[in-house]
Amino acid sequence: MGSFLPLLAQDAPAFPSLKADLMQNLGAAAPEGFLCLMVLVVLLLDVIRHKGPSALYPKVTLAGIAIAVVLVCVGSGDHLVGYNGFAALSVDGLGRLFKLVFLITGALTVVFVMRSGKSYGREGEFQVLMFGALAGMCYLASATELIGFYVAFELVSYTGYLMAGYRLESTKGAEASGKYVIFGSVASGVMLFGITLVFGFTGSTEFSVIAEKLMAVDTAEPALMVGAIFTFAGFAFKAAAFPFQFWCPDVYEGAPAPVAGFLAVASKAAAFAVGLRVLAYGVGATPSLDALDPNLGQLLTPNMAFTEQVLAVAAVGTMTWGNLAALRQNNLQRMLAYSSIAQAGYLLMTACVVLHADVSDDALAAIGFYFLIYLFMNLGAFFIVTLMRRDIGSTLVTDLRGIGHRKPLLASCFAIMLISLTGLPPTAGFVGKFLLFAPVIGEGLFVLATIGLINGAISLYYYAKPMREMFLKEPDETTGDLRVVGFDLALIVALTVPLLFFGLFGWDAVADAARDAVAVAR
Amino acid sequence: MELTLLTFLPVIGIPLLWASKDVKVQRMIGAGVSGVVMLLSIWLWMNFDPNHTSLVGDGAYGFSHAWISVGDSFKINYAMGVDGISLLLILLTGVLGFLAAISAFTIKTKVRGFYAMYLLLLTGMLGTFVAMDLFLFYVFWEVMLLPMYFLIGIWGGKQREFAAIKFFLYTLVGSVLMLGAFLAIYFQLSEAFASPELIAQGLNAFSIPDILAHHHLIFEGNSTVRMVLFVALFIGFAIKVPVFPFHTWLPLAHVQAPTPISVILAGVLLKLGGYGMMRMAFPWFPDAVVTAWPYLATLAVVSIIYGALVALAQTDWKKLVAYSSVSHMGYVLLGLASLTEEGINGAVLQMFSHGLLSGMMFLCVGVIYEQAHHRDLNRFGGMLSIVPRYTFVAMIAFFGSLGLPGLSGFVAEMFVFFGAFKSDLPDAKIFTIVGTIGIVFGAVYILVMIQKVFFGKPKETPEHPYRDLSLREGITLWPLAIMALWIGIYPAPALNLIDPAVANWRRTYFAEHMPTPPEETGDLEAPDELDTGALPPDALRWDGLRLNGPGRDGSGRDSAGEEK
Repeated sequence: MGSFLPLLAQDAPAFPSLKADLMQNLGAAAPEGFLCLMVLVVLLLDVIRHKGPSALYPKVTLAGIAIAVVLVCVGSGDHLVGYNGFAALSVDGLGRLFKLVFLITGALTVVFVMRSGKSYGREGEFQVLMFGALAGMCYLASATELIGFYVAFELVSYTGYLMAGYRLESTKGAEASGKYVIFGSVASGVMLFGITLVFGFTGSTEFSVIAEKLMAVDTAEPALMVGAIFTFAGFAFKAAAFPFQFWCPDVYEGAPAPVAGFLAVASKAAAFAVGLRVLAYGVGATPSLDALDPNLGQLLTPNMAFTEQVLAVAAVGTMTWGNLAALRQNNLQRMLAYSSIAQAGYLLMTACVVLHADVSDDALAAIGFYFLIYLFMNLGAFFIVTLMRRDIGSTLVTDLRGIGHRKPLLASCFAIMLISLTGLPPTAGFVGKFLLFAPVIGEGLFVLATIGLINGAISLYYYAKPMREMFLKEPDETTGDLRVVGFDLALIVALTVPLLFFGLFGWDAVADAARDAVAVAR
Repeated sequence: MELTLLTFLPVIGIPLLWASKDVKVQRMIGAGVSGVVMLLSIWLWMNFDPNHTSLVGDGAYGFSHAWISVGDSFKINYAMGVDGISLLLILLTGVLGFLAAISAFTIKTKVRGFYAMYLLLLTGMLGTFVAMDLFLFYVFWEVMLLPMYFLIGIWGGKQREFAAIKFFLYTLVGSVLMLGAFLAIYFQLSEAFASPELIAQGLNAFSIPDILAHHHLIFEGNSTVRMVLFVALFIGFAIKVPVFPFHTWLPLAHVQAPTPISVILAGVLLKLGGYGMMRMAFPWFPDAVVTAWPYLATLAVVSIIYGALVALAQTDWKKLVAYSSVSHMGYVLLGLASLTEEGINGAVLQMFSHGLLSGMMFLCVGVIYEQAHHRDLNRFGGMLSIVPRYTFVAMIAFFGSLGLPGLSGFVAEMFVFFGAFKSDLPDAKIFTIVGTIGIVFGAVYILVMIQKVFFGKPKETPEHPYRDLSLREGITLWPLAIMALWIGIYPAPALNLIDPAVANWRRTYFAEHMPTPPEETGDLEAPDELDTGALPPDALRWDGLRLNGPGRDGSGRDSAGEEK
């Protein structure tokens, strides 16, 4: 593998056949390319039709996403693609797994927006933004070098800013968007600064080379570490990880509920996809350590141990802060925002052990599995919030009072989602948490795991709040009623059934599939 | 197969509740399903050979099938099994489950939802007793929480919401600690089981029998980690028992829960803590138990005395009964931790007896509360003359709880104290003597309560005059009374069931860890006094248990001495 600048390339391979290489590149980047194409298509459609029935746009989007899913699924094998021996994209299972998470999340978000009952007359814009965001995320999941990564990262950010402010009439929406832009820009700037430092000291923009230099080298170069930490700050911002989580509640509360759900799942997953790839490359770059005696502590180089500590601190801070802040929330949407911060903390906890070569794949698979589950339960909860805003006009927890007596099926489904978010059996959320905690405990990080487990127990308090309102309180005249029937109800049930089913049966098949998928082309 | 049927029968019954809109039919379905569960549990007991002490294997009902396997990291089995100890508790669950379902006929609102949750709870409890795989066990253990949350939270008293969430949070903290310990044990044992000597046996580190058989391999030689794991498991189970100072959820939950749920809470749920200690925490870490004995005994004795003293201070009748549970479950811990055959038998018997008696007491309180709509002890009086039939059966419950000879509580407590007294563990006699003070306090709070409620003159006239025991209430109370009497006079059926398992438990896990007694010459405690004085004559007639003879106990001790 050569480096980005030909001047620095000491051992650049012979220029390969351009035609074959280009064709291969096009095929490998087909999902991203198609999503970019869809941005143009919908933009043109919007210009041509200008005014017209808005129901067309969601259908176009869903069809486009469906095609993208097919394109992701038909791709197979693990290979690096690029030109001139320079790897820009890795087409592999890890990328495919996360792309599926993004695309399903995107599709559900579009449906939620469609069902949110508000027509802004700007449906076309939203679909454009959605395709842009998905294209960026999909690229992120496969990116193997910094330039493409940064462009995609910014694409995801800008579309995110605009989507967060989509509810123009609401001052909270404007505030959300404004905050997101300002904090996001600062984070991007910091990250870009970090990237330049990293490039300067490693002489490469390729993750594999950087990871090798960062992780496998025994002696730390202080400026390089600063660069790495600044770059990490950008990820942490996107993943809403401690100490860069402060923007999250305001933005998630102010944004339309479906968008908040999208940001909480897809945007977070995108940050994790890149971060995990870097970590996995770091492990892959140090094959000699695999052969060592797997005694604890022996396995990690000093830099890896440092990375693990940074991640562990971030994990503990994220989950604890998220949980404690969520305890006091009365607004369901804001509570879910804090809870999604806490959930990122559990994922970061497991990310720590991705660095441990013997459980690396287990940990990656657990995180992938958790995102697949998290998608259903978290989006389902945000859909309930969407419907509350539509039918009641408010998203306070107390607005759910007595729903369990009026709409038992709806309330039961929501309760199952909440139980799954808490991580109690027999739901898929428990299995997800089980798989997340297992490698951490297996690697002997008992303190970290215990903090995580206690946090899981604390989270019950606020996840039980809506359950208490729904079932333990009697409905009174003042509470509005959710008019959830037909399609909405069917959708909620459809989101709930996998949570129950995979809590009891067949989750081993999914977990195995995730494990097979995450083997990263190194 | 039998155990699968037993466990999932209640859940299968849930859809039947939607067969009719008539509340009466729904009640009949709920009670009917739990009745079938009871019959099945009795059938299991009748067809069980107590001498069969292996948990999974041929002969008993045990089985193990592959359930879930993820790559090479997890092999989870669908494994179930019973021994005498768990079967006695299953029997208790079946009986109380049926009687509480009948007593729940007084539930007026959302009957269908109540029985749906109730049956789910029943499955959770039965599953926990029979599960022989840690993952399965944990699933059942947690499955109990949610129905209980709703049962307290929807159908409970005034403070039901707070009580429900407090119960839920407390137990969840305990169970996540447990889960952490399970996973730590699993990974470490998986490595140990993959060693060249053991790999051929195909052991599974989630399988409870496999862990029991190789408990010494759990972090072998690292007594600190073993102690930490033991403490994590112990706290997880101690919250459920509950042992002081982990008991604070209990009074609130017991008092706020509706009567049938109080019965289940006190009668069965608390036993799950004791069962967990017997199946996991204690036998996996016998060395830690011996080391921790002074602390365990202190907690037990404090629970006994503290529970009794706090009960003495209550004016709320139901709260008094609730605190009496803290006191009585303290005996269980004392008996278990004494590590003598008598003590352990006493602990198991106390679990069974407490299930019967506390269930009865909660039912008795419920009968009056329904009519008076208050539970203030200072406002009752003279019940003896107003409702004599009720008083008669209530007396059995309260005197049984006090430890009156001839009732089950006496036999169990005596065994616990004999066992604790003759234990070779340090200072066992002091702990026992202090613990017996609890009996005195126990007598005081029960007698004061009886005096306030049943004797004297009525302090106020209720709106409607009290009616005596109805047929339905009689049906729920009398079977328990008869069982309490039966165990009190002739405990052989229960002891025959549990003793082989208990003896095997003690011999297998603790024989080598017991400290060598100061002198090996014969029996230290005068057995004659015990035989003639304290035990009811019939109690000596069973043939399973030799109290102080040169039998099992002495020989185990000898062999341990020789090894050393």
